[in-house]
Amino acid sequence: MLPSAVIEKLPHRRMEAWKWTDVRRAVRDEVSGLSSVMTPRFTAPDGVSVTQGAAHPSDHVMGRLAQSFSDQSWNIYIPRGAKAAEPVLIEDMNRGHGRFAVMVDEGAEATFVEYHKGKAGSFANIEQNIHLAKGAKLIRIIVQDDPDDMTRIATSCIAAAEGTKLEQYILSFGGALTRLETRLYGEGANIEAVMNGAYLLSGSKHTDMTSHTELSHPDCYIRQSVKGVVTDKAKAVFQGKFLVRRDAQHTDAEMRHDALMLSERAEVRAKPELEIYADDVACAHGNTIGALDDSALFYMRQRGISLAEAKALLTEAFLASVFDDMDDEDMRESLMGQIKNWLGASYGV
Amino acid sequence: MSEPIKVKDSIDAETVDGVRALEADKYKYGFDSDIEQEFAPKGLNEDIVRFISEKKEEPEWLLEWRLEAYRRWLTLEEPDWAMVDYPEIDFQDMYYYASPVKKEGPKSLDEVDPEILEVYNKLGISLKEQEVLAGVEGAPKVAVDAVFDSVSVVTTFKDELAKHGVIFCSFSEAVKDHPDLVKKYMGSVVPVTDNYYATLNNAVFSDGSFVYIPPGVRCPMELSTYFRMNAQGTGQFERTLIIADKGSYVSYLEGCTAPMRDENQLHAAIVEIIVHEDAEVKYSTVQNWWPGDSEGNGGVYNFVTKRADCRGANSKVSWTQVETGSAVTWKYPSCILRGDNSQGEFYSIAITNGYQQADTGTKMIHLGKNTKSRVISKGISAGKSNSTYRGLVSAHRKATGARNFTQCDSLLIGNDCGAHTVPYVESDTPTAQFEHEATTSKLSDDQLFYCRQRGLSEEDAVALLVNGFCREVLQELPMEFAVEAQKLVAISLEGSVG
Repeated sequence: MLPSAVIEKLPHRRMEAWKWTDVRRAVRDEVSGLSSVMTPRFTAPDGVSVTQGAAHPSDHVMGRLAQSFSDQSWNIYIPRGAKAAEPVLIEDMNRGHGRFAVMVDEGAEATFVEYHKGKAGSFANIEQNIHLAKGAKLIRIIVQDDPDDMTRIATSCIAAAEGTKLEQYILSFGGALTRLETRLYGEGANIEAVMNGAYLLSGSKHTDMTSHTELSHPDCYIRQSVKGVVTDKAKAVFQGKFLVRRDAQHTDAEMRHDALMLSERAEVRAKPELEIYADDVACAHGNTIGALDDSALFYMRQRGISLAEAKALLTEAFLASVFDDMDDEDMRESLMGQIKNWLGASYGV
Repeated sequence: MSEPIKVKDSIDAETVDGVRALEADKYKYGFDSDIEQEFAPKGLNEDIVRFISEKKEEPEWLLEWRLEAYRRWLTLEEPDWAMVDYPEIDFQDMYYYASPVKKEGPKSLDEVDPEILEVYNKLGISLKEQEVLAGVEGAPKVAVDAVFDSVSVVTTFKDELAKHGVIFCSFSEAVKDHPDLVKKYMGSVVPVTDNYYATLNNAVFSDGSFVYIPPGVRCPMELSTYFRMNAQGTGQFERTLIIADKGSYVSYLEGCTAPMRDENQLHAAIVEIIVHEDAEVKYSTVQNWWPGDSEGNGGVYNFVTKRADCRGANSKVSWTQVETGSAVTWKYPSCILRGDNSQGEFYSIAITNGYQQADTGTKMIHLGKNTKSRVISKGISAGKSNSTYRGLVSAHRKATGARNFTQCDSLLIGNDCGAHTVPYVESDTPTAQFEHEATTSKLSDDQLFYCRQRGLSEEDAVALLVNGFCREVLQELPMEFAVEAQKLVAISLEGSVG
């Protein structure tokens, strides 16, 4: 397919789900990875198999595009009852179209850590289909930090059966255009999901965190908290949707998005959506956008802390709650460390 | 007759009763009135546009305006992004003009067709000036512009208002008597190109109200327009223009009802409000168009564009709406907060029943410095209806110090309805503070504590605070036409979602 033909298929701002993230406009003909297949690197613990096999057909725009370059996917399988000691690492998702299928079988537990760090001037399109069988538990940690001229779209579709648990943490430093989309489909009752994310954007970076959670069975528990910081001329987009169907009674779902704007040219776009058909549910959403609290800054400066340090500390505290519930202390430290570095650089500490 | 619905225990019985009282089979305004009327030929083409303009004896510039809008409309496609579903509208299958025969323009009260007066009587709308002028105890002092189908039949209290320099008349009359004002402001808030239905309105608008409040004047009485659709198979396209000059104040109320009909009727109106420096406009609507019967047949399509331009510094607009009618509602009364320190408010209660569908909300566009907006939206869905709150709060890069607080809550009664929220928030300045909450359970801790300390149980304290809040929104409304609103006072929002 000619690059121009590929670009024609990219989503653009006249499509509601992409109104703030116009992929078509962001991508040039000559960008590397537009028409190639991704070659990721896996580190899998014992008992976890990684093979290549026929992929399932895709039902979303970027997945269908990936499909036209490869009908194969990287299949990762966690067997029934397995509790892998080490996480599965996925790296080198530098450019090209990548298709992944993950199956966590009944009662199994696994942790996946994905490092999205691409090559300058590239294009990466990732489609992940994750299936959580009955009683399975999955922890996903996604760290994304691309060069400021790279475009990355990563779409994860997660089908969760009865009694499954999902914990997902995303830390994003953006790119020229980054879209991290999570689509969670509840296919059974008693699902527990925590989907948190933090973004820190400087320069002209752009991150779009989009999620779509669809529940059709009762007694599910969903918590989503996305927090971010935007400075320079960067742009943050948050689109969250809870779709609670008629049979999803006793759903308990909360969504929050909070953004800190640190500069005159920063931009934040948010759309926390609810579509509710079941009456006996508790669904809430909140969204705030603002700057650091002046009185808190003053308090700290009065105690001898420099303005830059005070800003960094307050921002760090603001973002920290996103990763509070992480069991893996080392991982949490690592993520907070990356946040502190960014803050140090941004605030000149 | 509906069988008892299974409703979750936490919802107040009075609430369920209050909402059921609004069900289609209890619609009190659905009567038909046999008034002799004159119609334009059915369908829509340039000749019909000319027919309408001629009937109203409009100047050349307005006919050109209409024709340009019509030609543009032909090139447009109907938008389909709202969360509503309805059969395709056949724009050729309706009358675009209908007016009571014996009329030639708004007359004094004695000259109005008594049969028409009777219609308004039945609706509980007071068109009597005498009682009020004589200072009769308890008589409502509200000036009314009564619009019957496409035509304004009478505007009361014009003379008294004129003493204060206030112009309150039908739009058609304003075109003749105050053309400069109309030309200056018409289309300046909702441009002809704004959206599909606005463009259509610009081609075929019938009548509506025109209000001008001169500088420094606090309008001595409430102004209201009451829209009554009567003729079968007609579309109603009103146009209202309100101008509040520097330092003025006006409170305006809009009421509307329509007879029960099997087929759907289209209502595509435009309301433009311009508020100059230090002025304030309060616009309240009790919308009770025929919602369709309990099987979802018939009902009015209410597709309106309402927008206020807070042009001057310190200007303020407050939209209050109680939406109980209409088969399909598609409207977003909005504020452009252009002037520094300007304020916009939006208070809404939307109740849907039967097969009604509502996609409604507001847009608060912060452009000036230190602008504020407040959005309180309550949606109650029952029956098989769907109600969506769709809103936009945005701050331009230069809108330093913008503040918004939005609270939208939804309550579902029964398990066959839907309640949805689609809020868009766009901020381009770090000095803006935007807060959006959508949960009723979050009452002020201090207030709850205060009530409990005085001996109220937690449940009673919550009920008291929620009810108190709801009443506050309803009491924003002048009560003259708001019979339904009175019933709504009993409604509580316990057990709400969102």
